[in-house]
Amino acid sequence: MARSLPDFEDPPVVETALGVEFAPLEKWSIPCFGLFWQDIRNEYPRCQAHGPLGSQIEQFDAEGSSFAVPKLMLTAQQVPDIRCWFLETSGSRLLQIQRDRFVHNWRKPGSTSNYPHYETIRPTFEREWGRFCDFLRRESLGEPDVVQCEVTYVNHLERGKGWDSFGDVAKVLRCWSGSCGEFLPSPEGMLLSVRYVMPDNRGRLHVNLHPALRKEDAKAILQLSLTARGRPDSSSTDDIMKWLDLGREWVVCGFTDFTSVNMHELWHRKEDRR
Amino acid sequence: MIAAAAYALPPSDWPIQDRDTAQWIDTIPLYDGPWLLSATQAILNFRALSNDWDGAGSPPVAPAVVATAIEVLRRFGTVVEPMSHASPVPGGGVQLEWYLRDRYLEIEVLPDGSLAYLSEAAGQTKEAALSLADASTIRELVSFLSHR
Repeated sequence: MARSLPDFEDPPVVETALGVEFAPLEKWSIPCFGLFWQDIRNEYPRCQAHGPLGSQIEQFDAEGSSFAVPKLMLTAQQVPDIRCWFLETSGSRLLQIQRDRFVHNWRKPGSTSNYPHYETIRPTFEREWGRFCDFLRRESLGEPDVVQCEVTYVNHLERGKGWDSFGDVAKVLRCWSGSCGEFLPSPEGMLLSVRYVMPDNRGRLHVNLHPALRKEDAKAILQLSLTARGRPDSSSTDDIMKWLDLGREWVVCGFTDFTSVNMHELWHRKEDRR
Repeated sequence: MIAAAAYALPPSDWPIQDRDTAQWIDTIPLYDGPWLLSATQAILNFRALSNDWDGAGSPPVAPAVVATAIEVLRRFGTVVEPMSHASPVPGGGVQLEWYLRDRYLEIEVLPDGSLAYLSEAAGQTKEAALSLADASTIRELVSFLSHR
């Protein structure tokens, strides 16, 4: 039975990313980006080239240690890898594609816009992933062997809304007492990176907090990002969507557990819903 | 008139590379060190300038200009600890300056967000437009500052 999930009228989420990582498609080459763009260009009229994302597969040892040991991977490449961004007309959706990655991003297009919620974003991801897989089949580029799913929520906590200095972080985070005894002054800066392992090693939740400046409006913020990653049971779309649902549950419940009741009030927490 | 602020700039994150994250919204992380925080704060203060702040009818410095100036700060550091001056310039731009004994670099963020630089060494002056996406020119300018 699905558990009820916390919800907020005015959540600080400014971006979500749902993605899958798969074994590199051997037949994928740079012209494939253009071929795929032909399929989606009506909806995604702008395209940008970026450097590829590195592989970030969650590792678990036999005893389920919560530490992922970074692996040094050297690969010989005959052609340079790139990642293409396909930007949708409204400016709120983005597809990122590279030979081993498919990511769908939603971002808040303006300060007055509301977060459309996962229930709206999920079917869009499913449709676009289906379209990408159809393209791969049609062009005989192979079926993606999915090795990991990923859900990321990026939250911007603006200075002046619940916090003014790093000494106030205890007002923002439930897990941070802010009390350091009598010697230490209020911190000048802080970085927080915490990981949680999901039961049965289904994946891992990464929570990161750091101060930043938002380029769009030069506002000082605390960026709180939560990323859940893990391996689906198979490469089928059903299993991918099931894992994304699990990842989303961990991100939303993790966010609620991680942040303070004071902030929940500021974000107008609603009655829990399914 | 706003007094120029000076900072000693220790090494910063020199590598200019595409970010390795699927995040779309662009932010500038502010955990590099105290120097960046104080320099950033000084530039952020330029946002408080009102119309005609220079008595010559200049508009305020736009948030996008402030953000770009801070991004420039992050990209440029040097091991030889030059002093950097930051100031608003008439028209709504921001100018960053690095002084060394035998060389000088200024980078101006223009009111439309574009960049231009002027470098001077041994009587030679070079002036050109600059893009933060142009990794090779940025490396060249960092090298210029650090005498390499």
